[in-house]
Amino acid sequence: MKTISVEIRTPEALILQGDYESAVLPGFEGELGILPGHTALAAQLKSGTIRLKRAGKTETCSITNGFAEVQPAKISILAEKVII
Amino acid sequence: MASLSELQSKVKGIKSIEQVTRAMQLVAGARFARAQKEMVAAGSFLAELEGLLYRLLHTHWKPGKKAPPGDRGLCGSFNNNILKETLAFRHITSDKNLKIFTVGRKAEESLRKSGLAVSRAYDNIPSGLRFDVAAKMAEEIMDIYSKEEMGGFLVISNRFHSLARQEVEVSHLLPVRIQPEHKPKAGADYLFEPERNSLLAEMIPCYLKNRVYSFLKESYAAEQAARLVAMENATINAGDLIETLNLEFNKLRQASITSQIADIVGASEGIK
Repeated sequence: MKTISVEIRTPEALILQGDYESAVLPGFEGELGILPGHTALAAQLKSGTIRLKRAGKTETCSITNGFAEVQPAKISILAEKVII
Repeated sequence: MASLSELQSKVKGIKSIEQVTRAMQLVAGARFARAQKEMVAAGSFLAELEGLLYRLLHTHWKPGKKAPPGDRGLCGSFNNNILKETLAFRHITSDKNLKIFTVGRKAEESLRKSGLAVSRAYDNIPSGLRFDVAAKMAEEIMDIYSKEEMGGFLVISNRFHSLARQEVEVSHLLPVRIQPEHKPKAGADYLFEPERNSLLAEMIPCYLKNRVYSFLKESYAAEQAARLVAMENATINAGDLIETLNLEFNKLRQASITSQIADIVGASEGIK
């Protein structure tokens, strides 16, 4: 299964780093589903839940306000606060 | 020459000073380790954001109004170099509207003492500064910047290079210039959500908040590093001083024993 590497950072720490099969982000204008190979995207995120899938399991974390940069092999999420 | 008891009390005094400096050294060491971790985290967040902004803009951000070089200073927290730099800056700028913001008690005190008016002083900054505090500061700066149509905003702060080297640097905060240290390759075409301009309008305040946060964290780490080194030197010096004084003390003690023996021998010779 193809994976995409995900990084979640706050100004205070690197919260999460890993390879996932898919990600769902709380986009400003609606949820964003991201699969490996996604086209480059810059998005504003609103407060909400991030869902990351790997090996049939879903991991979630909550963020407040942030930005996401999606590239075909990498998602980089910059959020003000993250709760796992 | 000092008397035996004088020397003894001197040694005692220096020993207690040594204890204090050693304790301060340890405290600074522990704080530094934490501060460095936080500094690195703040720095890498900022670098990511900066890189993203850079890639999104392709070219440098052009401010709407052409602005003269900055006329405000935000002071880092601790040492004299900051003060020197600020005073030097005051001399080269002819702008009467110069406003100075300070962070930390020391910066404010020393600037006031040298006769500069401080327009806004942030003190009581908790040592474990949270992002929210920096964000509020940045909001205030942006607010004043746009309301009063200031030409720019400079930050004079201590940059951390290594444990032994902290240097004062003047950096631009406003108008915004995106110049990441490692220029990333300009990315492919991005999709934007929401559309480009409103996304950028959201990102730039976030970027500024993170710059302020990163400055404060770096300055704090630099302060702890400076203190660590200073206290280490003080502890070493105290040790050297104690050694010299002990030597002197022993010489004096020996001299007095010798003279006492000479007295006794003299007296016993007299009795015979």
